[in-house]
Amino acid sequence: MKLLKLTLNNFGPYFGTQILDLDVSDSAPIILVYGENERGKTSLLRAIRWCLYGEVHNQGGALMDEREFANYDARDKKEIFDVSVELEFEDQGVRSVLKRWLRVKENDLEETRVETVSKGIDLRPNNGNPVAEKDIPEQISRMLHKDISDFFLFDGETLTRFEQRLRSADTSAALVRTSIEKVLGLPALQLLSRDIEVLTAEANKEVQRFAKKSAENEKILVKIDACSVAINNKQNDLVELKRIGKQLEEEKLELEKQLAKVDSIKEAFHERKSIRETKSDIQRDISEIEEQIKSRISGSWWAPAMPMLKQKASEIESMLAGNAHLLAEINELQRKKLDLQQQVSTKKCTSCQQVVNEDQIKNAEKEILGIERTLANLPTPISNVDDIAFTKRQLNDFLEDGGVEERLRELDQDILKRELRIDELSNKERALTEVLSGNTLDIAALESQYQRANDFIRDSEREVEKKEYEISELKSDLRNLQNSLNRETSESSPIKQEATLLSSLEEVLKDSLEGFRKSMREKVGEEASDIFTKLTTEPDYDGLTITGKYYLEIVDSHKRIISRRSAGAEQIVAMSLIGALVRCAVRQGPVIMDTPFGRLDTGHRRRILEWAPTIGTQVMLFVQSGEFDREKDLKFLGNKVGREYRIQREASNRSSIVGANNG
Amino acid sequence: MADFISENKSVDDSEETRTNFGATEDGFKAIQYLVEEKKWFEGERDAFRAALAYGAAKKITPTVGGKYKTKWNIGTLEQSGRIRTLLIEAGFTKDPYTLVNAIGDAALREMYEKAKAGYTLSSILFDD
Repeated sequence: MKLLKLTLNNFGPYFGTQILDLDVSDSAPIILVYGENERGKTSLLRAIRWCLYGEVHNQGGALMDEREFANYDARDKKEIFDVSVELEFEDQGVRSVLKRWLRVKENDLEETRVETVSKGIDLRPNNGNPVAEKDIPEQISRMLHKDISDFFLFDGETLTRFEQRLRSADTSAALVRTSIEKVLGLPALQLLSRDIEVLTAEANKEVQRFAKKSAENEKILVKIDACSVAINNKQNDLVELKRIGKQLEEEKLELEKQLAKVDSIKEAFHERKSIRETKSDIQRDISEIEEQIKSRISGSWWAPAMPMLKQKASEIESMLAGNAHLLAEINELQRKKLDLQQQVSTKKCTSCQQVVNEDQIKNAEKEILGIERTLANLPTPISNVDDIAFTKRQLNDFLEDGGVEERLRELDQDILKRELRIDELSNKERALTEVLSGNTLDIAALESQYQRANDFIRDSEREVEKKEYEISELKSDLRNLQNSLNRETSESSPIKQEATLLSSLEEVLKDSLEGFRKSMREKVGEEASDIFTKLTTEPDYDGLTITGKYYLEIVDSHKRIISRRSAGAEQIVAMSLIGALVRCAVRQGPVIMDTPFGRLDTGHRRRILEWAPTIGTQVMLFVQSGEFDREKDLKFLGNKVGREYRIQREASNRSSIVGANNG
Repeated sequence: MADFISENKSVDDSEETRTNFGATEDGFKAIQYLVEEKKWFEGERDAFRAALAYGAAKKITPTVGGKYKTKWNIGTLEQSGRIRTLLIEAGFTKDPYTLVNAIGDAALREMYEKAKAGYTLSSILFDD
C-alpha cells in the first residue's frame, strides 16, 4: 500500500481544505513535515488513522470522540459543516480513494459542543464499482490491518509502549504478539492448520467407529486411547507450564519495577556520594584557606593594631618633619641675627663692606630685637630626635607587610562563600539521606534474582518447546496408529481415504507452521539486531536477542542481558522491532512517524535519519524544530527526501500546510 | 566568668611577673575556642599575641584582678620588643609589660564573644 494524496477538510486545526501530495518515488521515499508543537502534526497522523479505521486513540491510549476533530473556525460559522479526510492510495497496482466524513453542527449541550448530523465512508477503486460500506473495513484490513497499523503509523512519544506491552503479563502482550504474527502472515497458516486438525480428528473418529471388530483392531484402539490420554496429559502439562511461564514473567516484571526503583536509589546514592565528595573538596579548600590565615596572623600578629601604628608612624613623621622645619627656621633667624650684629658692631655692611649710617644701624638693632622675639616665640625643638627616629623605625618594621587586613578580609570571604555552599550541599545531602534511609533493597540480590528469572523463563520456554515437541511426536504416533487402524479397515472405505489424506495434510502443515514461525521469529530477531546495531551509539551493546514471545533483549559484548534500559534505549529497541517487522512483513505499507526523535540525543537522531530511507518505500516524518534542524540534519537524509511540507500557524487554533522545499 | 587558679602558681598584677605571661581560665578557654574550633591561629601563642594587638588597637580596658596561669616567658612571646612598642604606642606607657596579661585576657574574652556571635576573624580584628 502506498499513499498518494491526503485531503483534509475542517479536520483538527486545518480549516477548509488542505491537500498534501504524498506520491514519492522509491529512490526518494522520505516525506518531511515540519511543525512546531501544538500546530497539528499529530492531527495529521490522527487524520490518516481515522480515515482508515474510523477510530483514533490519544497518547494516553483512550479512544477519542471523533467529534473532537471538528475544526473550531468551522464551528464558529454556526452552520452544518463537513469534517472529512480523503486518502488516495495504490495497492497491488489498483488506485483507490477512501473518504471518511462526518457532518456536524454546533450544539452547546454536547460535551464536545458538536453534534453529529450524519457520517459515512466511501471506498472507490478506479477499476470498478464503489465498495459497499459494510465491506470497507475488511478491504482495508487486507491492506493494512488495524491491529498491525501501530507498527506502521506511530507516535514517537508512545513508541516504547510496544516493548512494554510485550513484556506485560496481561492480555495486551498476547494481542501485540498476535499482531506481530499477523504482520508476518502467520494467522492464515494457523487457521488452515486448525481447520485441518479438526477435520482429521472427526475423520479418525469415524474410522474408529467403523473399524472391524478384530483382535488386532482392539489392540490398536487401546493404543490409540492410551496415546490420546498421553496427549491430553501432555497438553495439560503444557497449560501448566505456560501458567508457570506467565507467573515467571510476572515475577520478572515485578523485579523490573524494583530495579527501576533501584535506579532511582542508585542515582540518589551516587548523588549523595558526589555531594559528600564535593563537600570534602570544599572543606579541604577551607582548611587551606585557614592555613593561609594562620600563616598571615603568625607573621603579622600585630595586624589588628596596624591602623593605629600607621597613624602613630604618620604622626612621628609629621613631628620629625615639623622639627626639621623649625630647626631650619631657627638657623636662618640666628644666621640673620649674627649678620645684623656684625653690621652694628663694624658699622659696615656684611655683604658689600660699605659704611652704614646711623639710621641703618638703628634699623639693624630693631631687626635684631624682632628676630630675638621671633626666636623666643618659636617652640623648642625636640631634643630626643634620635629616640623618636628609633621609634619610627620600629613602627616602620610593623608596617612592612601592609596588605594583611585586605588579604584577611578576602580569605574570610572565601571561607564564607564555601561555608554557604557546604550548607546548601548539606541540605541536599540530608534530603537524599532521608530518601535512602527508607531503602531496604539489596541491589546485588535483585540483579541476580533478575538474571535468575531470565534463566527460568528461558528454561520454561525450552520446556514448553520440548513439551510441544513431545505432543507433536505423540500426535504423529497417533496418526501412525490411526493409519494402522485404517489398514485394517476396508481399503475402499471413503472415510478411511479422507482420514488418511487429512492426517498427512495436518502433519505437513504443522511442521510448516512451526518451521515458518521459528524462522520468521529468528529473522525478525536478526533484522532487529541488525537495525539496533546501526542505530545505537553505545559501543558496549552487541545487539538484540529475541525471545519466543518477540520480546527483544539488549545483549552486551559479554553476552549479558541488559536488565535496565533507559527511555532512549527503549525507543531504539522499539524502533528496531518496528523496522524488522516492516522488513519481514508480508505486505508493505507506508511508515509514518510522528515526533520520532523525542527522547533521543543527537547521535541517535543522526543514525535514525541515515536509516530512515531504508525502512520502506514511503516514510513520512513529522518533526519539530527541537528534534530536527533542517539546516544541519537534512544532509543526513541524503537525496532521499521526496517531499517537504511545513505546518504554519494561522491563528491560535488554526494551521495550514505549505510546501517547504525552499525552506 | 570564673577566675582561674593555677595548680602550681597563682599570680596577679600586683606581683612582679614581668617576664612570664599568661591568661585566666576564661582567657585560655577563649584561646582554645579560637585555635581549635575556629582554627584561626597556629597555636595559643599566636592567639594571645593577636589578642594583645587587638587590645592595643581597641585600647581595651584590661581585666581587673585576674588570676593568671603563666604560659610563656618573655623570650617565647616577645619579638624584638614589638609587644612593648605596641602597648606604648597604644597609650599603655607605664611599664607596659605589667599589663600584658590583663590586656591579653580582656581582649581574648571580647574576641571569644564576638566569634561566638558569628563574626568573621577580619571583622573582629579590623572593624570598630
